[in-house]
Amino acid sequence: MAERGYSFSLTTFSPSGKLVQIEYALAAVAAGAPSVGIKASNGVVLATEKKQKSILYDEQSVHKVEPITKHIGMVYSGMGPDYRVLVRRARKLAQQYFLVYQEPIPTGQLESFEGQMTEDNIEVGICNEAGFRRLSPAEVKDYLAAIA
Amino acid sequence: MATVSVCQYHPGGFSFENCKRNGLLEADINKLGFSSPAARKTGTTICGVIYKDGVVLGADTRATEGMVVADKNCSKIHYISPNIYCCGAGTAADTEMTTQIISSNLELHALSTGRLPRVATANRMLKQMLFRYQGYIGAALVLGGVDCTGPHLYSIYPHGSTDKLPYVTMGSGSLAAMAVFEDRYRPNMEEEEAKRLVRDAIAAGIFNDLGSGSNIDLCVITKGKVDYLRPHDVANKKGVRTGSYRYKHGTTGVLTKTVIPLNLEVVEESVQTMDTS
Repeated sequence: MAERGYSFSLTTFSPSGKLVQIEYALAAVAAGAPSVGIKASNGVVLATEKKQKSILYDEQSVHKVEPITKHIGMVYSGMGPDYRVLVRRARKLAQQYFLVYQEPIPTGQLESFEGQMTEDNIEVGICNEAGFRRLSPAEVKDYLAAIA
Repeated sequence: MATVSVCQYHPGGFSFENCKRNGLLEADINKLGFSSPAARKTGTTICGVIYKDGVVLGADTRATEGMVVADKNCSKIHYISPNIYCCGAGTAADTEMTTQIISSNLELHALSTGRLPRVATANRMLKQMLFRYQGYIGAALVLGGVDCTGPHLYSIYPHGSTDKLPYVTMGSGSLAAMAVFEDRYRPNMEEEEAKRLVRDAIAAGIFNDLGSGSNIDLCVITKGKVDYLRPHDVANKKGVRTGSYRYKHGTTGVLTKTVIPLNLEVVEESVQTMDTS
């Protein structure tokens, strides 16, 4: 299928307008073990099902619920290795925030750390028979508004 | 929009490019008769001692800017991790930021290893950072803590050398404090005796060194518990005025009195609420 050629790059649209890598990522999450978070009046509970592929795995050497700081925890569904990378990034961001503001990072700040997509920090290019063309910032803004 | 740029390779280590420029600037300023502003130093007496159950760290609380006291009650014992604290002498900003950076890095390290951080790790991180800056970071530190291997005490010099000892002193008052230590230190002291010894060592620095003064802060670290005593001893209380300079009504005779009322009317009143959500 024509889709396959466009499935390797994270930032290339397929002919049908889909970002195939994103679809694959969502599929991995859907196929993963369930994880939940419940907000109580005096705290939060995070839980997930830890299913080991074989009894030979050392259960205690890998954790699914990880602390990010003293007051923030994280749990996931999907790919364990990718989760590990996100945990490291989140921890580093929490420390960077603390070094600047001398305050524990508010949870909301962490969740938006992937950054908002604005015309200042993303570029969109079109490659077709006519060659390669990069969209100007105004066109990028329109494009973002259209897909939002 | 940004064009594609070649990734520049930065050779490792600290860049000393600005040091020559700074030297020339300083010479120019001195020629005009002015002196460049001095960094605020902590003057300081800091010390630490290992006793039976752990570590006692002590510090004075005076921060000086040349010959003037900039802060009469500054905190010189910095948090590194729940079981490790660090006293800082030298340039106040350097000790503050260095300990904060190493504290953050150590927290990341502890989350990664899943274990309580060791004092030796903090020591390594601090000395490697200070050596990288070739002594330009003016931070002389006394690092102490208790980890799984027991109580440990290090002294770290601005150029990056460290000493692991049972008792250490740093700062301009270090000689006065060391004199007290050399006289009364014994291995395996009890907590009260160790606290008294550190208190007396800092007091020696406070009363005999001009760069140190005000109060004595103590930090007692044992396995599983930290007592941050600030202030442990207010050695220099501000004096209370014995008399009052206020004069009673009628001391000065009144000759004439004229009252002119100012009739002001409210023209506009606007209220702007702050978003405190």
